[in-house]
Amino acid sequence: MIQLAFRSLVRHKSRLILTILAISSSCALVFDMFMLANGFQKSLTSVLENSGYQLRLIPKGANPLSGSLIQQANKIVQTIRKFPSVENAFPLSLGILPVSYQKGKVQFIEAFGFSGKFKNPPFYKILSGENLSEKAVSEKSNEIIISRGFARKEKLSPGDLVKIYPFSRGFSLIKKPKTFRISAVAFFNLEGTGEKMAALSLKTLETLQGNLSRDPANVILVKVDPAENIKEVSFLIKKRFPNLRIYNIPEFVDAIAKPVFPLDAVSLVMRVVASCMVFLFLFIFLALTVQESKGELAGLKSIGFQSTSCFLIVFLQGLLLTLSGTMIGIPFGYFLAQYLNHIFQGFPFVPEQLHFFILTPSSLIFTLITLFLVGSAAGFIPAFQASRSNLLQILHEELE
Amino acid sequence: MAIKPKPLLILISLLFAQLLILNSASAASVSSNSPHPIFINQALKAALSLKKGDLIQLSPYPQGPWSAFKIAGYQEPRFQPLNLYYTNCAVTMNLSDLWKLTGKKGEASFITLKLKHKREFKKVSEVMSLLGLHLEKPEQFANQGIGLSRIFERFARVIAWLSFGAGTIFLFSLMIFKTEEERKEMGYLQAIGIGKKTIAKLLLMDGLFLSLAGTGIGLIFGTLTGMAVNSIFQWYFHKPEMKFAVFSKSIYWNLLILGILTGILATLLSLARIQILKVAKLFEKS
Amino acid sequence: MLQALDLHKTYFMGKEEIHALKGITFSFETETMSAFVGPSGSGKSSLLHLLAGIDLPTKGEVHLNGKTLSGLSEAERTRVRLRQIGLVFQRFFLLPYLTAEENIELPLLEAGVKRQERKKRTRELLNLFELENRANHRPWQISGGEKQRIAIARALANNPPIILADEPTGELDEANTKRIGTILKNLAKEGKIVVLATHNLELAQQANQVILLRDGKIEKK
Repeated sequence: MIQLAFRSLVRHKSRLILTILAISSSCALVFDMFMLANGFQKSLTSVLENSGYQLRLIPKGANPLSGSLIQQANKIVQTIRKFPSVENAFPLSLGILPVSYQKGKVQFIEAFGFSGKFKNPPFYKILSGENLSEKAVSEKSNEIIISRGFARKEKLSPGDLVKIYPFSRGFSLIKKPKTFRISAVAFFNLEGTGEKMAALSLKTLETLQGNLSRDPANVILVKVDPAENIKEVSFLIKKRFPNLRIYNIPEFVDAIAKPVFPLDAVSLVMRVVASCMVFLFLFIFLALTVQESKGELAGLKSIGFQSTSCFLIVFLQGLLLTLSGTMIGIPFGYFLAQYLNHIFQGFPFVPEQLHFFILTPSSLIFTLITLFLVGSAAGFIPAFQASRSNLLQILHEELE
Repeated sequence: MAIKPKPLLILISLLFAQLLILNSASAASVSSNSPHPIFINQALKAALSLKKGDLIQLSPYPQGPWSAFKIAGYQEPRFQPLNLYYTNCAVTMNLSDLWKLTGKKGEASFITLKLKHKREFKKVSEVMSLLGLHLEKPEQFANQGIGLSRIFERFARVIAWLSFGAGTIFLFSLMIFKTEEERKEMGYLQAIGIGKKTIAKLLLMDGLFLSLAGTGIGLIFGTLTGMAVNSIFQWYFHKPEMKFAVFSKSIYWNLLILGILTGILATLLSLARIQILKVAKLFEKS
Repeated sequence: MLQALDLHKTYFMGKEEIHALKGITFSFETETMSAFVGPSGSGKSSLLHLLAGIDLPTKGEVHLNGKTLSGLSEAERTRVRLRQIGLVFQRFFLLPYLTAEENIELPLLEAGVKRQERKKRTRELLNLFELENRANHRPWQISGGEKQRIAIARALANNPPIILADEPTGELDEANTKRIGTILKNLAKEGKIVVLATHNLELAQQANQVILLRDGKIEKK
């Protein structure tokens, strides 16, 4: 029966090719929207998981993007480090610093202040130069690490000197800048293309921002080993520090990704629209085909073809069309997704490492299931019409 | 991993933008001893079941210190491009109150300037850069804030053209369907002496009617769908002013013209394909 | 074996009643070719449709091997057409996208015959009707007479005992009409019941019995 459906389909090649092209474009869209649905979240999750730190603590009741401060962060970190299964914990602050270099031009950079004992902090990777020494991390120091984009754009390299202005109570050129030495150039995990970033000790950052007296930090990161003990560690932290909200990676991703990028909603809307297009293309094509081949169907019925066989011939045509559209649409959709991803990476502050369209087995499977269902639904009514066609009436019409 | 500071800055700057439009008269009318006035948005009102006149405690830290404010009214921040999610609560207060609360006296996220002439922008910008300040035109500032909408616009255009392409290809396919179906009738018409030009005209009118009707129905359907999607977005994000689709006259006109042109093109292509010149061939194939 | 008992058929054209058949009773014997002749509208095609189970009588019955066709469901009547009745039409009803060989194979396909057997039977029929050199041609590549031979071969695919042909030579020339008549007569000789509806007297003359229909009644045998 499938052969019969195939032969019936391929007899009018030009209109078949055009219809498949139209269907495949919409299939590509369905596929892209499935890649988009959770792409950003998945990508962000993988970047966060690579850091190895599973828990993030911020003040209770605060939005993770609001920049609320935890007071006495170092004290809290020291307590948490003593908890069983906690391998490491460190406080991290974020700030904006006015920096001048070369001919005195002032630019604002995003600065990460951190403290703690580790060889390689999990939010950047050294590309050239020396990492901050343990002393430089724990104390106030004049060493900083700058991002790759910053170094490339401003032609800075390890050993160069830059001036940083204190940023407490706002920026003013009247304040005297401090000289810092670039100890290394690094790739920051959440670095956007050409974004200017720097890492320095938490104490140095908070001194420059005039916040030191409160020992604040925006976030505390905790690494649990073995990872299975995350729940126990979370419980201990919650009990000891009820004013802190503990986020595991999925919660943190959800809290950040959802408010900033409502892409799941966009994806859902576009998925429905694209699926409707596939449905319409298939339905119209098959309905016209049935209309056109009434005589043939009558012939088949008269020689003993059952209604179910006639149904199958048309229904299978719908599925074959969907299959061909899908086979062309998926590779097309994949390449289109690269372009759309490029567009989305133009979002302000989007790190290079984050992607919006992620090809996962689930995105592929959901696309196939959706298209199969749409193809079946679109083929059902024309196929039903074919199976219920009135043989006698068609015989009379044909003779007229 | 780290929270990115720029969105944060924008959020704060938006809060400050609200400060500029705050009704200072209402703030001044409250005596200095009583709690200072504050405006809350609908999300906060709903989240904490607050009403006008209620007292609310605010602190920059979870541990305090807390300061009391009196709710003077409701005000939605004018634009929050990066802040679409419905859990977002916002307050608008006097700048000096914010300084007192945060202990960051004298700080502002941005300064708004009104230039006498637009052409002075470059000169002022140079002076500002010497002071370490970056001057942006309103549209540049808006672009930074609502970069999202720009990106969505590009994205939507790609999707729209893709859908239009798919629709056009399918229209070609339909015209081939139609002309193949009518091949016989056209043969009869030619056989009884009706000229090929008349037949071509008839077909063209047919194609035009099809595409016009299709475009018309499509526009109505598109408008209804767009309105439905807008309502879904407004409901989802609890923001009555939010729009996914904006309908403008130019969009309708452009689409109408495109529809007509596509109809003509599709008909011409299918006409060329069936070679209406050869009556004998038509009969033979039909 | 095949019997028409007091067959009546009434159609409605809007509010107007049309009595296509007004009490036809007839027994069709094996090894016999019966030809129904008569002017247009005499009820020839209606009778064949009732005999084939395509339509149901308003009154009366069609008995086939002891079964009443009107007592069967549509699916059962379709199965009867597949196994026991071979139908031939004026318009051939060949699928244009299949070759002659594939068109003949269709009833075997629906009957669930295995591929090898299908091919064997199709070859036999192509040889029988001298269509070997047309096996891979599409219907639009061959002549009307050849098309009708393919249609008859298709009707015989499942080796049904009854052949019903409605104006089988309506679109054919004299030579082909004669040839089709001979084929149908030979089928009757081989033991089949062959029933024709035609207005072609030349074809009717080849039948064992000719029945004249007028206004839905048998006027003369």
